Amino acid sequence: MPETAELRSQRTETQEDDPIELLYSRGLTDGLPVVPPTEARVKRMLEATDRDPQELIGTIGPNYGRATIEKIAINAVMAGCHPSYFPTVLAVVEAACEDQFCIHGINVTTFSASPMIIINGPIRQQIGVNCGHNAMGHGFRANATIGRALRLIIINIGGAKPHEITKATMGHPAQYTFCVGENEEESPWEPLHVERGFRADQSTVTLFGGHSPLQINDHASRNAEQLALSLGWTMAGLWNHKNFPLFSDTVLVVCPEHAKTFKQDGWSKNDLRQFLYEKIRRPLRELRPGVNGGEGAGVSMLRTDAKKDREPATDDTLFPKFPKPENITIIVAGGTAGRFSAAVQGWAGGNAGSKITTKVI
Amino acid sequence: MFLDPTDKVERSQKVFAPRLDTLQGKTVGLLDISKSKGAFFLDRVEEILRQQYGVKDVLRRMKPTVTRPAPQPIKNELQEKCDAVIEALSD
Repeated sequence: MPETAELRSQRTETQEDDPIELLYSRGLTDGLPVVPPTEARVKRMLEATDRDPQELIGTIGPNYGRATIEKIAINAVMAGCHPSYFPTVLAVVEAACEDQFCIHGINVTTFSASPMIIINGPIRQQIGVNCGHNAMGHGFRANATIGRALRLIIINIGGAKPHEITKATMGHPAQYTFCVGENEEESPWEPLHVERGFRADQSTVTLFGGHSPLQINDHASRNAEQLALSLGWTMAGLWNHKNFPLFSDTVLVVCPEHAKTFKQDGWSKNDLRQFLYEKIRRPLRELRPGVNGGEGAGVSMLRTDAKKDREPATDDTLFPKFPKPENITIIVAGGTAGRFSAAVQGWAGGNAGSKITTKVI
Repeated sequence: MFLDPTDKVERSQKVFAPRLDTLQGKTVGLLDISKSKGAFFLDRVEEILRQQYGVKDVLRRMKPTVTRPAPQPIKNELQEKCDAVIEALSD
């Protein structure tokens, strides 16, 4: 931060209280203890940037609180971030504040959506982002605290507290933190940020409004087609087994061993996306309400069906699970042993929901 | 000592509109938030409002998407033309 800059946040004296308990009592945590944001700690965090602490990055719904550099730093301290993570946290908040990401809706939907953060580029090694074994799990400070910083910002600046304005029906543990680095070194494909128009030597964060990951086992398939069918038919249950087509995006996290199988058969990411779009289909007769369950086919499909200017669907009409191939985002992450990939189901997508958003760090 | 992590920007004080004594002869807005079956639910609400409560007029509006707040023009219109507004959360 500039040497002349001053911090403007209100100070609370805590000599007689345990500061951790005081922060709990004021409803300023995610349920876990936080690091007390002392002035010294916040200033150390701010030393990681030349930007003015009062610069506004954006506002966070539902309360549209102002996410200034200073407020972001305070929450990053509370989350346990090392100052070297701060530029990444700022990029995460910039992405979250983009209108197309629709953080307001993500924070208040009953669906239990939460931002998934994907980190690409050299920053991964520089600050120790885990991309390998346990890539989406515990054990690494950068992953744990960068994701948690965004959660605390959502709570403390956005005002999204459960039982108050946040009414997620179920919630999930990844709401505490959901930050993964792409294992670019084990990927046969170009990494996500390059695919999205950035240079390989740039570092980026990509935000995806989604739910918890669903792990998909396939230890048997030895060719790309068999493996893709395993992944796809497991993903066919996302949202509900009758949500054909989905009205959201999906992130498919391919483990390195599965990625090798696709590489061996020369499949590109687009080949995999196109295959899933074409093969994972079910006839309308199986998607009717009351057939193996009360839920009917996807809302978007029924609306399409109702349009008079289109060919009406018959019971034999096959509907795809994925609305378009490009609704599937593919990354590689995880350890080099084990044939477990994962799918992260998205919240409502497109113009009526949240669009995947990337920012340079 | 710790620094406040929340946004303490001054906000305009929200004041509730005056409560209505009766719905008789009033105009009521019904805002469909664009979830499935919203129209089904609000059709019944409108019927009850007209038949049992004698409202003069019902103004039906719909958000373009469930995921975002209502556009300002819709909010302005409901505020200007209605004595009361009911926002539907359906599914």
